Amino acid sequence: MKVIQLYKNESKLIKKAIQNNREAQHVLFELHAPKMLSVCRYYIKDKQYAEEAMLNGFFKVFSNLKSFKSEGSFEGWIRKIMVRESISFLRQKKNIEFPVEEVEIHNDYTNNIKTEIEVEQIQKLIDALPEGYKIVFVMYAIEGYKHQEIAKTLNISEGTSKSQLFKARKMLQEKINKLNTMSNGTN
Amino acid sequence: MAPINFDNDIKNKLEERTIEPSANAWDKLSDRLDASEQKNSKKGFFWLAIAASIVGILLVSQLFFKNTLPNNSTPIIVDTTQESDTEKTIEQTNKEEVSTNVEDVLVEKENSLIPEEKKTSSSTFNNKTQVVELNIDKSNVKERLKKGEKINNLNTSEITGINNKEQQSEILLAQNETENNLIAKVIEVTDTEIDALLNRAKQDIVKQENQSDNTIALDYNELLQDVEDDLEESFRDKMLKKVKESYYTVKTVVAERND
Repeated sequence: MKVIQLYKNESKLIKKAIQNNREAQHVLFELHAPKMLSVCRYYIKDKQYAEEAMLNGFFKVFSNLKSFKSEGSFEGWIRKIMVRESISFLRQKKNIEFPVEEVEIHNDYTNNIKTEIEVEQIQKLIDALPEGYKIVFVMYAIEGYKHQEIAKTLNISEGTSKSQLFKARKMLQEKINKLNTMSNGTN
Repeated sequence: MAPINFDNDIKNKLEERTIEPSANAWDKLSDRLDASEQKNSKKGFFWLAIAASIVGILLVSQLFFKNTLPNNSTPIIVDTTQESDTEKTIEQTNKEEVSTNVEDVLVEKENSLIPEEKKTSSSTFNNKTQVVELNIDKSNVKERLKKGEKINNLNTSEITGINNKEQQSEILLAQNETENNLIAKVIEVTDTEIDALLNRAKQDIVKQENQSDNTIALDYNELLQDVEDDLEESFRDKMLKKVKESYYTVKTVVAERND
C-alpha cells in the first residue's frame, strides 16, 4: 500500500530526487529497477552485466533528472536511457556485428507462440541470436522503435536495420518451431 | 500481419517479466551518487578558484597597465609640448629678430639722444628695456633689466620733478650726476647683452638655415632613389637582353645540330 501511495506521488518523488534527496531516489529505484533490469537483460545475456548496465542507467537518470520534462512517462524516459546504456555496454565489450549472409525467405510464421514456451525460453532464444539481430529485434519488436531511430542509434543504414530485423525474426521463428515440435514429440 | 503477431507475442511474454536486482545494487548506486556529488562540489570549488584567479589576474594586470600606460602616454605629451616648444622658440626667434631690429633702431636713437637730453634718453631707455623684457627669456637679463628699469623710473620721476619745478640745487645736481653714472652703467651692461642677444639670434638663424638645408637633403635622397630605380630598370633590361641573346644562341645551336 505504501508503495502504491508513493507511486501516485511519483512527480513529488521526482522533484525531491532532483534535489538529491537520497530517500526519494531510493524509492524511485525500488519502483523501476526490476522492470529496467529486465529491459537490460533483453540485450545483455549475463545478469550481472545487465545489472551493471542498469546501475549505470540509473546513475545517469538521477544525474540528469533536471532534464526530464514530465512530457512523457517517467518509465518511458528511464527505459530509453536503459536501452542506450545496454547498447553502449555491448559496444564497450566488443564491436557489434551485423551479419549480412543471405537467409532463405519462408513466410511460415506461427500465428501464436504456444503458451507452453516460457519467458525464460524466449529470452534464451533471443540470447542465442547474433548481437546485431538481437539488438534490432528487441528495439523494434519490444521497445517499439522505428527503423529510422534504430539506424541512428546503431550508426547503420535503415536497410541494414530492416534486413537485421527480418533475419532475427526468421531465426527466432525457426527455433520456436523446433521447440514446439520437440514439446509436441515429448507429449 | 504474421510478423506483427509474432513480435507482439514475444513482447507480451517478455513485458510481463521483472527481475529483482541484487541486494546491494542500491548501495552501489547511492555510493556512486555520493561520490559524484562530492566531485560536483569540488568542481564548484575548482571553478570558483578559477574565477577568483581570473579576477585576480585582471586586477593585477589593470594595476600594471595603469602604471605603464601613463608612462607610455607621457612621452607623447612631452613630444607635443616639445613640438609646441619648438614652435614657440621659432616664434620667439622671429620676435627676437624683430625686437633686435627694433633695439638696433632704439640703440641708434639712444646714442643720438643721450648727449642731448636726459629725459628723452631715459624714456627711450625705458621703452627699450620694456621691449627687451618682453622678448627675452633669460632670467638674469630680466632681473638686471628690471633693476635698470627701476632705477630709470626713479630717475625719470625725479628728473621730471626737477624739470617741472625748475629748481636746481647742488644736492640734486650731485644726485643727478650719480644717477647719470648709474644709467651709463646700465646702458653699458645692456649693450653687451644686446650684443649677446644679437649673436644668439644669428645662431638661431643659422640653425634654421641648417634645418632648411636638411629638408633639401631629403630631396636629394628622393632623387637618389629615383636614380636607383632607373638603374634597376636598366639592369632588368640588361638581364632581359642577355636572356634573349642566350635564347637565340640556343635556338641557332639547335637548328644547326639538326642540319
